[in-house]
Amino acid sequence: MASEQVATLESHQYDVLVIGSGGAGLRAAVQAAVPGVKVGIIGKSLLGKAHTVMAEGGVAASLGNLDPWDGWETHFYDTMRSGHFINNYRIVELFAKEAAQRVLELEEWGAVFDRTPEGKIMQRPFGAHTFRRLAHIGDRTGMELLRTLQYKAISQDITVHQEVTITKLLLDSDGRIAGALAYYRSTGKFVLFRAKAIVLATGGWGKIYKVTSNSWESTGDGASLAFRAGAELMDMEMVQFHPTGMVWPPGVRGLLVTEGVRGEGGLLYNSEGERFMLKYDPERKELSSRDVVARSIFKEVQAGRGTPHGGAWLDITHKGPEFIKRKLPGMYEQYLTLADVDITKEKFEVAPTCHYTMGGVRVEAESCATNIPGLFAAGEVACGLHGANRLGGNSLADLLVFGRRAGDGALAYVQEHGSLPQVSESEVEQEMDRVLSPFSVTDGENPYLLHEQLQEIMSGHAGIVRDGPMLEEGLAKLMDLKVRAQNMGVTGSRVYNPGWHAVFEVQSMLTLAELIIRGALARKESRGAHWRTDYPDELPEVGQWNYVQDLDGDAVRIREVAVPVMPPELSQLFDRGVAPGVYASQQQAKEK
Amino acid sequence: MAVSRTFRIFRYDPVKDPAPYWSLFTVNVEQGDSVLTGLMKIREELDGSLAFRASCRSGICGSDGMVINGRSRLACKTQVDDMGHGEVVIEPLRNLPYLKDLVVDQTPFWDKFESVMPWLHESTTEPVPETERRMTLAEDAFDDLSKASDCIFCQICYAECPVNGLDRAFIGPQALIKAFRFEADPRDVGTNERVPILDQPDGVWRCRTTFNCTVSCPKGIPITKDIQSLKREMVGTYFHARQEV
Repeated sequence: MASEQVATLESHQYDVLVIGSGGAGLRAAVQAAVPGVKVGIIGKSLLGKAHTVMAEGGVAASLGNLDPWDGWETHFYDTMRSGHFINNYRIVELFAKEAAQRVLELEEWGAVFDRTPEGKIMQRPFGAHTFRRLAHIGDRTGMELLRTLQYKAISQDITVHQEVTITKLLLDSDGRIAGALAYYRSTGKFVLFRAKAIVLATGGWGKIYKVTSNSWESTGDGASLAFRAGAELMDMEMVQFHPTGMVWPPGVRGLLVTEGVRGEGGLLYNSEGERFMLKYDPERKELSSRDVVARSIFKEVQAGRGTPHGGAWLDITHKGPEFIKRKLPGMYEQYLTLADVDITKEKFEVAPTCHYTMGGVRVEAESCATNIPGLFAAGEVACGLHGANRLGGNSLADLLVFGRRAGDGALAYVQEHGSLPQVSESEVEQEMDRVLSPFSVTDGENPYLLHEQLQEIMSGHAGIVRDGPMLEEGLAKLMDLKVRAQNMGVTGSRVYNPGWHAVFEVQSMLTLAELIIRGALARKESRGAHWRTDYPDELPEVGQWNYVQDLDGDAVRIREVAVPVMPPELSQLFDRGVAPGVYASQQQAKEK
Repeated sequence: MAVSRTFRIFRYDPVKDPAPYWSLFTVNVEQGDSVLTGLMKIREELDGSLAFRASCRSGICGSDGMVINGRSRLACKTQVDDMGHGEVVIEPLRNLPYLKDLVVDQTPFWDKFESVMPWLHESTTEPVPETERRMTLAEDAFDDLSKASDCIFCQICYAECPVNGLDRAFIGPQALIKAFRFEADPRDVGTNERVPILDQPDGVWRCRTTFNCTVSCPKGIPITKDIQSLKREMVGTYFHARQEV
């Protein structure tokens, strides 16, 4: 006998239900909310607090406001190249072509950007972008973007459910998406959402690692929910370590130091005062791609040339206090208040920090559809745009371009399949029992402690450097932890009980951690963010695959799926050895 | 070098507690640790049910506003070392009903925030430009707008406002700063719709320029000054209308 009955449940019905109230989710909701279509958004936190706010440097779009030679071809070129060519080219093509429109549209909706003297949107240089490309406001671009979408959503007829935990995605008997079971964090009461289509926009899972720039919310709930419902996840081994996170004091370890510091002229030094990036990437130097810079810092520290707390020095003092305070006000304040360091006067310590998960739910390029009918995914939870390494600024552009496309995709699906799919009452009742079970465990495992142990395992065995035996050992430890996690217990009531919420987050992270390790074992090469010392080279025969994982019964199944091959009109962009925009400018110079 | 510190925390669970009470927790904190780091340690090591909101831990999301040693602050931006040598006393934000422990019910705030129509009212007569719309604001005007747009919804201004404490109907500084953010935006044409909401006894006029909001704002937004700008706008509109008659 179930402890709670479906008949008495609070229930809501939507045409399009968006799970996740960050940038991608809000953009999808804004797109889907056309007259006559009922749209709901579910957020794990309060509206406006999503991890999107932490994006600092800017949104990448080839507006060409400062460098007129920039264009979608060069943005495409940079993104494919830095993704080490396991990106889905069609996703990248749509992205590069549409990013500029999406930024201008955001401006129409009220976003405030820094300006050029002529009043155009200002763009700053960033790692591995050929041209100055990141539209920004100071170093709080993500926040401005999220606010703008939030305001836009409020102005429309969209219902927002704040502080809700989703515990299961529900399918109908034909395997179509039918809804989700959830509870309100504030009261602990269950709520059933029924929907014709669901857009998943739940972000990444950086909290799997001990040192991370991610907020407490990045626990991969959406990817894990989708996986358990039968979705295919791809390239899970690809985890980005941002080269520059804070190092000291311990409480703020991992907090992001925006790439904007290097974009605005900051230089990296080792303990011997050597500007080591000249050695690792003489061409792009400090503004090389993130995988290269992160690995370079790691190598310097390993060679005994690290700073007192095991990092590198970042120095921007040569730009002067006025410039720094104007262009990087957030960073100035962050170091002053959190670390008692004045970055206008002294160099400061930085070290790699887990920042972004390139892997995720496998989606179709045009509509963001997953393999589950009616389920769409956009933003960090989805996979295909970034390949083996994400470029700075591409994540904000990603959530605008594909948030919109997922909204459109869901809308088209709803218009094609008119009816509301049925959910199984017994399934819902079983799930409610499962969700309440941690309250009846006595002397159960502490979810916070398990989380800490999970982070230890993943940081030690599947972090910035990997090899076969290390990964195998990590997997064995992880499987032991999974067994213990079946016995998690919580105390207190259902009202706003964070320990209870942590149980489901730990379950999600355990699911995804296993996929990261299995993916890392399968990819026997080094590529982008995935660095294996036992396979130190990028191997063309491995680079033709994406690694796709899904559930086969209760077991994880992994298979190689061919990376889509670019058509000639796109592949020829890479034949000239320089970026298309650079080539065009050189041609014109020759003609003159 | 870790030192042992005691936190005195306001506790209340509506399901099991007849009245709020204090819990004392002692944990080790490192030099430079924030109050939020202390709270996380308590939750991880001593009481997993301790409720508070927090997300980014770097003062960007504005989730962890709470009263620490008598003043509303962001827990992630407050160092334990700066709170003296005695107990660190933590209570929920004022002026909003508490739900559980340090978590407050933000419904009143959201309602007021939405009442000022906080979105860009686009001109319906001006055609949507085919290329980029240019914004050429004078530097100080741009700074005013940019600063107001920096609000992180932490509720600290709302919680510190004495007028909000006495008069629940007062729209409050946070909603007003949002109104200012759009009124200061040259692209916005929503003034005629917003003025009837703002030009009310419980709108801009209820602000008594106590400056608590400005002093307590973790982002340094000159809230009081911006509210006065709105008042000037109301007065200007009033006289402008009289002259036209």
